[in-house]
Amino acid sequence: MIVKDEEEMLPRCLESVRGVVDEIIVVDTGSSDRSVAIAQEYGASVVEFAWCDDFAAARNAGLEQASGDWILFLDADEALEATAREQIRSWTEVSGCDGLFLNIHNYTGSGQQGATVNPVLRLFRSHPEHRFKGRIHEQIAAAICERNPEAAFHITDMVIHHYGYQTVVVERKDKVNRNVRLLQQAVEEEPDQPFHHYNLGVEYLRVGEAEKALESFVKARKMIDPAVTSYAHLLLKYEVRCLEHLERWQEALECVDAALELFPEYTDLMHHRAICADAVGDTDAAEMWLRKAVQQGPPPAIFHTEEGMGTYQTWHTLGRLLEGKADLEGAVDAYVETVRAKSSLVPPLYRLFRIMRVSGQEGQIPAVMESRFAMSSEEALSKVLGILEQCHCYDAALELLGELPSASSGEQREKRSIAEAVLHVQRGDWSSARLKLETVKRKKGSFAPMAARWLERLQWLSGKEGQEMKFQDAFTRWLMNGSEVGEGRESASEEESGSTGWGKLAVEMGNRSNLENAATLEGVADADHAELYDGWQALGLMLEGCVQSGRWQALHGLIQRGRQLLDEVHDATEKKLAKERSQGEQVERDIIDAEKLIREPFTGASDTLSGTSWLVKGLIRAADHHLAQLTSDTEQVEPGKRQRLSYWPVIQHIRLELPGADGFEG
Amino acid sequence: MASSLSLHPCERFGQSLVELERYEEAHLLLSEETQRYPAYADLHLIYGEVLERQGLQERAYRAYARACNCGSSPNDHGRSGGGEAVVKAFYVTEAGSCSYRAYTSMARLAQQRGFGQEAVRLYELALEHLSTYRPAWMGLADALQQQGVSDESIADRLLHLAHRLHQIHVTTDHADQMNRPHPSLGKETKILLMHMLYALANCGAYKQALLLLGGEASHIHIPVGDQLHWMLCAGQVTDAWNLAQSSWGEADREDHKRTSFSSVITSGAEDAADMSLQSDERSDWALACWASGRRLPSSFFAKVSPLERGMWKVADRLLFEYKPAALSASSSTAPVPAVLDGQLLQWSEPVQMIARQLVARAIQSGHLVIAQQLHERLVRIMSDPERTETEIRRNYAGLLHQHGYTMIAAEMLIQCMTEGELDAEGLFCLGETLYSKGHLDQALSLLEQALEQKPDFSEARAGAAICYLQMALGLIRQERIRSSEVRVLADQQLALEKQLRIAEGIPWRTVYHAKERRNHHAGTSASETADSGRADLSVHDRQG
Repeated sequence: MIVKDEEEMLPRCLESVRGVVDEIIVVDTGSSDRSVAIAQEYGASVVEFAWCDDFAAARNAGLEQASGDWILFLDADEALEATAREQIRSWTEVSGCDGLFLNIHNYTGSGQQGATVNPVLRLFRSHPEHRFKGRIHEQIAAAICERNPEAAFHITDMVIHHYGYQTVVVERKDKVNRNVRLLQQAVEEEPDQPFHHYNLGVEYLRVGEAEKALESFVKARKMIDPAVTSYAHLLLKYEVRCLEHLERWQEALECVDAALELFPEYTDLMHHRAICADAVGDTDAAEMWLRKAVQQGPPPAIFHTEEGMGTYQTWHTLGRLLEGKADLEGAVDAYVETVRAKSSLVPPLYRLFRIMRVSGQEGQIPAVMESRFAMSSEEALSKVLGILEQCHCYDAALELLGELPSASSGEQREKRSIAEAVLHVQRGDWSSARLKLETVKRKKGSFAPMAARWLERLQWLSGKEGQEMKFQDAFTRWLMNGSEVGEGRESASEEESGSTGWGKLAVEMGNRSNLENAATLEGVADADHAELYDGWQALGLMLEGCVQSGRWQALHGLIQRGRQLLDEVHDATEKKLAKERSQGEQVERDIIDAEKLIREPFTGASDTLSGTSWLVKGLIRAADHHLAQLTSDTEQVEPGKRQRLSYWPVIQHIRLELPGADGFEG
Repeated sequence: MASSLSLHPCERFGQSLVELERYEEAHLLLSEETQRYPAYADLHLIYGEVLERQGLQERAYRAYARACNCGSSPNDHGRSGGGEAVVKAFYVTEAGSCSYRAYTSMARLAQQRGFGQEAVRLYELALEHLSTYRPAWMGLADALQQQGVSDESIADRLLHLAHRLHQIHVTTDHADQMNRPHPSLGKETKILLMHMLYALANCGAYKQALLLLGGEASHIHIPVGDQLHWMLCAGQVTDAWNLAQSSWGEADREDHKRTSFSSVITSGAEDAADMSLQSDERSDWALACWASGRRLPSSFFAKVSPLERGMWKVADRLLFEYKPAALSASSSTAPVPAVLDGQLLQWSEPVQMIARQLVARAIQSGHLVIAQQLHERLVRIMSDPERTETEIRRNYAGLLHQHGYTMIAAEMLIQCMTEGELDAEGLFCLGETLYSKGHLDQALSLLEQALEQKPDFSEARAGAAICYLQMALGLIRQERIRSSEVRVLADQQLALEKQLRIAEGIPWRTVYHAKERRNHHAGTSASETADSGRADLSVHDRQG
């Protein structure tokens, strides 16, 4: 393998082959970090090589030193999969052929969006004539076939994970720019090589330069014979993707149709054909193509495919399409299939629950979960619980909560009670919430302080105006203070964070956004639960409760209070910035005022983004509540005959599409 | 193989479903049928109507567009459910389904969504296909007014268009035309001009309509009732009065007057000749009299049934004989002569309705002073004695709001609020006006209050939902100014904006056309005069 400054990735890579290969050779092209040292720790032989813009040359330098019968080549940002470790020996011993294809799973973006899968030649018999060719995307197959025109290759199902194109890494390594540069060079040197144009197009597409990518792909396509070019299907698919990106739908349609003629079993093309049909408004054709794609399933192994084509991705796209056509039943089925195909996916569950809630079928959620999903583990149940809560299906969540296996410890019991109480708060059933919270408070366990805080908040919500109360909870005190400027009193002592300064804000915000998205106790370290259900989130939960119970005056009051605080924080920030800008020109009094305001009335108050998010959520929920009431069926005089507003379809559509939790955060 | 006859049933069935307001079934039926017979314009047209009723405006627009794409020639192919080609199916389609009717519907939607220029273009396109298509004329004038075009310019533009359309239809050669204009062309021009006049009047450009009627369109016959109404609306009250008198008044009816009057009282029978006036015409005549400071003539009473006569007499008296001491103050009673009480308490439903219609007519023709006085006095007499001053006023404000006098109505409603409670309708009207001015907080509060009183008030509920969404949008925009980098907020903003656009398909706002739109900013002059308590009825005689 070739490395340059790969100290981060190298350990994982070398660890994955430890004990599997007999010898590791690392060609170092000038690392200034610990790469060489790490390689030596794993017992690798390190070959120093002066980089000359030629990947093939560098690899060949390594090959020269190899003493094994078979060569496996990897990049530092790759790792051999666990099962492949066991299989390599058997494959190489049994196989009579000259080379073996492995499947690279490429993880892009943030890692959430699945992987693309490419079969590539990564294992080959060692021989002096087997040397790489090509500055970039260096190839070995050519040399093997030259030496033995009858050379045979096997396609295996062994997997190599490739992490190098994950967003953060790419930015750091500036890989793409380097690739573009090298490929442009290659294109200049060998303009008649379609493979260079193709690769250049791929790099352009990777950075979103669709126009340039398209140019390259078209050039490449004109030079190749699709019947014999191994990457022809990919080339055509990428061309379609460019046209889609540029929204040149007619051309995309023509392109994908032509491609489908050549490769009728290539599922990815069917999926894209559907996308194009939908874009031009032909939703029926879109549905047909998606169904065709799932029937086909993943394409035959010779095709490089994107993970999920013909399975979960296609099902999910079908679900969205059917939602748009108001075929909610069909959409539900499609989402169920999506989860079946990949159980770790959450977005389809969000859509599923929302559909059922909007169409008045929330009551059936538990039954659907039972009959169509296998949810045995507590972990799975907890995850679903969290999702139900975020989708505002409180009744279903409560039912599911009841089905959890009994708590293993007192602490866990209290944790669950708090979760249940919070569900009741959001339902607007504050008396039930109070009952649960009081129990937890009495236990005086680690959750007692949180319970106490919430009891105060509920007290404030249900209390009369002007009632003289002494509240411990900073948040409740802030609510009490009404229109007074936040005095920045010390938060209650049990909170670890206390009042924060501007400096700590970034760290706090980072933690908080994780907590918000969880919105439940899932995956939160116990030490952190002081910040859970607090701050702006507390406001959000109370807003939801007011909406659900129809207490619109309280709702308006809370919203106003929240907006007020946002303005105050904004003003304080402005003042501080102004102060920083005009050093020393600020009047003493102003500085003091600004600093007073900087002290947050409650933890996280100065995070206006969070505040806005929670307020917006509450407002959207209020709108949804009214829209729901508009579409609720009312019984007419004749029993069984219901009168509906004629425009309920547009309302249902809006309710399905309002912004809300969708599982894609974080 | 299907013949043309078999295509009728689904269209007819679809239409009857629409009439029965069974939109869901119609939707299902038509979404299938339009797939099967994609070249059948009528189906797309009805489908569009159904989609519009269901609030799905964008889809409706697309359906209408598909109707336009069908073309007018008989088609050779449809697709049956089994996929076999349907050979030689001629579509018996209603005229205009693929052209002017569809364009007009599209124009109407475009106008509703604020695409004024697009609406104008589409209306003109419709007229190019059928120059005599009245709805397109009406729509065009309305759309121009909405865009802020002046009445003179609207008239100019319409006239210009009429001439241009006329030219398109010139088929005979010049020589022929020189000597005698083609009879059908002449007739067509007449129709065009007539549509134009009505379009102008309909969009509130009464003056322009009357000018044209006196000038270039003088050979067009417009019924007396319509002319009278236009004059009344244009404030030309003396002209209006003269017209009414000469058409219906004493001059033509010398003989009838004495005999018919008594015979009507005794027999109670309706004499066809005397009862030829429609109720609107009667109202306009009365208003013309009152607005020009005159009392109702006997020839007027000759033309009303005994049932109504009482009411007219009382109205006439109320307007002229009282010096209203305290019109606006919440004093107990206005001095109603005791002698009338007996008569008045016998007012039946139909008569009450006529009285209400009279008030509405007065508002609609712009005579607010008269309208308010009539309302307060008549309504006070007619209605439940327990009804308070505030309630009566509130009722009137609702009428004003309906006719587009939103600011005046809002002032009155606010006044009512300070004096007492507003009912759900009043709260809604005020809320709607505040919403249109961008005061979301207050609008929301009022709408929620309206819902408290009347939970099934769907317009208020829809309005509240939309207010909440607008508020959410406002918060996002604010935060994006503060922290411009956040992608999540940008996505949310786009999604909300999109849903709010779609929500414009929800019919909760009061529908205003050009006539009413003009009154939105009608300000204080009318209310001031009313408040001053002067029974000066000739105040609106702007031009002699």
